[in-house]
Amino acid sequence: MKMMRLRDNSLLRGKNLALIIFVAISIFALSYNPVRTALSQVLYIVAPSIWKTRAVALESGDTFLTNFKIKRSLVYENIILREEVARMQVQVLDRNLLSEKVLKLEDALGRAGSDNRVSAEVLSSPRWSPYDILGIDAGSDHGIALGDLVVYANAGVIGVVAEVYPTSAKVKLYSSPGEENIVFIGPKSTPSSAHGRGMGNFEAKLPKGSVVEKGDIVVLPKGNLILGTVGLVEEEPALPFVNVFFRTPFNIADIHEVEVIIKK
Amino acid sequence: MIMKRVLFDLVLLATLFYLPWWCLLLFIAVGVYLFPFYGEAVVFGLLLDLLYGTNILYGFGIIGLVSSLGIFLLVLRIKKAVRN
Repeated sequence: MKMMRLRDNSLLRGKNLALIIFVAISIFALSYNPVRTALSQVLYIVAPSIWKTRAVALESGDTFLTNFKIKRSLVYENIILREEVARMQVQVLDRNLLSEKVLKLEDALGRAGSDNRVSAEVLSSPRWSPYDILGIDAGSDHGIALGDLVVYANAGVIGVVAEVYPTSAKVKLYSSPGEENIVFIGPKSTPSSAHGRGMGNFEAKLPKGSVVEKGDIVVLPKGNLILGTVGLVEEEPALPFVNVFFRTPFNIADIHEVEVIIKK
Repeated sequence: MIMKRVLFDLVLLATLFYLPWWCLLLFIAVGVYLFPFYGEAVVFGLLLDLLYGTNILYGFGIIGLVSSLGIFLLVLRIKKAVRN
């Protein structure tokens, strides 16, 4: 009995030691970039295909559940969506006109030739992971490189390419907690430092008295791309600055396709 | 018992790819409670970080590993307390 207990104890000690060693090696592997990238690359050989089956399964599930929705709610949803589409069509027309003017201006200034963009499908969004990271199905084989800007809907910038594999890549979102970026806020393009708060949300500080209000656009200097729109301006009487909370104009978790601006 | 453990590992593998990350941590907690010395918990935490993180993020991209190890130790302690 005593011998068995001693054997069990030594077995447990052995397992504990093995676990400690494994954790230590894992921390090293995760911290040392070349090892981490190599291991991630192995996983990303199969991950994109598995995620694509997930997307198909979710779509099928949504279609199946639609059969159980009450007709009245579907009709109401249809009306709302039609109104939204009509409103957006008008906005797009206005933007198209503006885009044409910008292209003509660039041409006149001798800066013709817009950037090259690669479309990529989003394989994993921040809702699936504890990180503000997007997995996309385009990689170095498509000309994508580390640091390339990633945009959504042709204008809103969302992040940069953080890791690249042959046929896929990881995009680090600008809204990741801990991320800090210089931005221009509002009609007077007041410069500030925007801190990520996760899932497309940001916080910035501006001096008290700055011209900023809800709905103002926030732009990233690099590429002059839209980062978000101001949602709330919070002022505390005792402090010399105002807190500006802004977010991307779309839900980061719901985007299915992005564009990567590749270097020529 | 080994067969059940292998099947449970496969369920966790599917959870890693098909369900949100917090579901994986939940299943890890269940696994640590059900099986003796469920070291696979830490492996799945590592896989979570490799799949979804980078080392230039907050937490240095080791949140999955640290969380799974934390859950492993906590649930092990709870298991001992419940069985005593």
